[in-house]
Amino acid sequence: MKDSIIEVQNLKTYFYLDEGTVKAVDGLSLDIKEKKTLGVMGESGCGKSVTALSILRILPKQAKIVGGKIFLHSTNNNGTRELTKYKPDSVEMRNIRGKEISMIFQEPMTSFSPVHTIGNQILESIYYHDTHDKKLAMEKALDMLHKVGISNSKQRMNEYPHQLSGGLRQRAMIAMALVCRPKLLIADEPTTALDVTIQAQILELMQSLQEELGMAIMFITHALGVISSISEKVAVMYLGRIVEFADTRTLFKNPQHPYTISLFKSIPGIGRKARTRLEAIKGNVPIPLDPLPQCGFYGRCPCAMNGTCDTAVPGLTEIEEGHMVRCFLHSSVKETDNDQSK
Amino acid sequence: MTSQNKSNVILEVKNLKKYFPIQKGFFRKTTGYVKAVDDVDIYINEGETLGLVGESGSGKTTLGRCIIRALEPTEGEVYFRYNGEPVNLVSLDRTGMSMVRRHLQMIFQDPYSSLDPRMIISDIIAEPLYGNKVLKGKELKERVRELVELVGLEKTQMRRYPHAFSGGQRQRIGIARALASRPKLIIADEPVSALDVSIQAQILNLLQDLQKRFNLTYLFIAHDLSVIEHISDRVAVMYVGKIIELAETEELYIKPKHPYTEALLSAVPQLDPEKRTGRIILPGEVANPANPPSGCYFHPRCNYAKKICETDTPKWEEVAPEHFVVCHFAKELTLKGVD
Repeated sequence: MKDSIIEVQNLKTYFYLDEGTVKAVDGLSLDIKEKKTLGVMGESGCGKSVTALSILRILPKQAKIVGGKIFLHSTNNNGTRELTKYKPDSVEMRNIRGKEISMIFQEPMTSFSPVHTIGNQILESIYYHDTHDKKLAMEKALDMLHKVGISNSKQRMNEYPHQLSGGLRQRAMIAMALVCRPKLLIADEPTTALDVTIQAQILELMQSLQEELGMAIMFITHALGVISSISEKVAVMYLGRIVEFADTRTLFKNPQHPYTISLFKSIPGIGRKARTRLEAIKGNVPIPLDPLPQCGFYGRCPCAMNGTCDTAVPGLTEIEEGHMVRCFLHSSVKETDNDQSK
Repeated sequence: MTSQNKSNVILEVKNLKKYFPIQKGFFRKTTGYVKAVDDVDIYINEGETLGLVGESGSGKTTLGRCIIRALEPTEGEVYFRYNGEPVNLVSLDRTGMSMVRRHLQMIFQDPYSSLDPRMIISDIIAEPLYGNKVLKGKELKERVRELVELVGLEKTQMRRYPHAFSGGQRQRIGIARALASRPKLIIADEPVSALDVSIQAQILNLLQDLQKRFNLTYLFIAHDLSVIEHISDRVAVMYVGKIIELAETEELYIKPKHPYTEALLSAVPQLDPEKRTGRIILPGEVANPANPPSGCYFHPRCNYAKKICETDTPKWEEVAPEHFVVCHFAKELTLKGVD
């Protein structure tokens, strides 16, 4: 597709456990446009992070990509590459990670190595991808630290992760991810562990860096407010599938999938004044362990139709331009129909 | 602090301080103090919810723990109404405290680490009842069954271990345990922040239902301003060990008087994509309570700070009925709340 940077087609990532097969990501398609932000929203266990790990091919041992394709489109002479064809530890993948696609994680404490200085961890990726000139590498690292708003960066280079506060650590993490100027940044809950005032700082920083470096961002989070303030398009995930996809405005003004609607109703928004009762969604997110061929939200849905929703998986259909919903209330297309048409 | 209607006050905290010593060197010499809670005055009326909000490290949890004496306060008094008379919890001895404690319970943040993995659910819920020697034998079993149903769990799940439950269900178990001894005051320390968004609403509703049914009083500690707004009657904002603003929920959210409250409210990401603007970005981070700035603790990050803020500590004053602020310019500034 034109000006997309990553194209995921019908991705299936399964975990093979002793208890059975967990279909963490089950038929997911999305594409991320250049210089745009795609928000991926969902609760824990819906496959947000596994999607990110699948793109970078850094899945844990038990997990396997069993179907689907991931394409990386580059504007330079590399052209289009199919990431799913490479082995996770191949030279090709190593050249892509950190150089073309970077990732930042939720917990900045556990994703840094505690025994190396911040500086060494940032330099590592420059040495691997960019240059072996020590002076030049140092310059680049300091420049990046300065960009992410870390003051006295020279001293910070020699410090260990535990010496930094949460906000600074997340800034250092962003510096490490962006130092080779990737075309796509995958941010997996980058602000969840932070306080609101620090969260506001980090969101602001990410937006200004995006403009400056011209990268695309895949922003994964469960916080609805954060998604609404940073992304242009939003994909709502539930049980390994996208259940609704639209641009941010449409999704927040006019949600169509019962899950999205219930989510909006169930969270206390600021400034609603009256202390009314929240409309909670009943039950829990089920574990996708050998799931039945039915709509994943069937057991919790307020408008579930017996005999329809429990017999097949609904397909993702376009109800208006750029607004996709996976629900039998809107269309009778089934998942398998979609597969065959492709 | 002055409160008009003293008769209804169930808990009153006066000048509460908790300093943690910083010890250095071989002889553990005390070189300074972390002022986690620094001169806090609050009261809670019976049947109401007081929300306590602040960023991490502001001393919210320490304050909660000092109130039930899970931590020994350095200084100050905590009056709890017991049999109609206010009792100073700080001055009670072991036996006295154990008598009162069953009226004070706590719900914890992390439903994974706050339940003993080697105990079955019915034992976890029954434990406060053994300890307080309230019930025995058949009556005890009956009470546990009642509690399990009260929080929306199945009787058939009573003999299971905590690992078999999801986060939301574990939090329900924690709530059942807190309710076991029929407490009057419950300190809920971030009870929903570890839960998924769709589960949060279930637990918040449960807490509200239980409050109505048993006339419970909550001290609700959280960092999420929308949750606090939803559940609290009054809200206290904490910053580096001090309460900097306290008012009724609507008053505080619509007409904040402290610049920190204004910034906090503006930093909450809005659901409406059209309301993206107006975020106040505070520079820097929360001050270090071991080495707080001079004058007003907030002045290095404050957009309105003037000379006086660097030198003088502002006083606790009532700027509107039941609206307390600690700021030199509380009366002059016009700040923006949520609309």
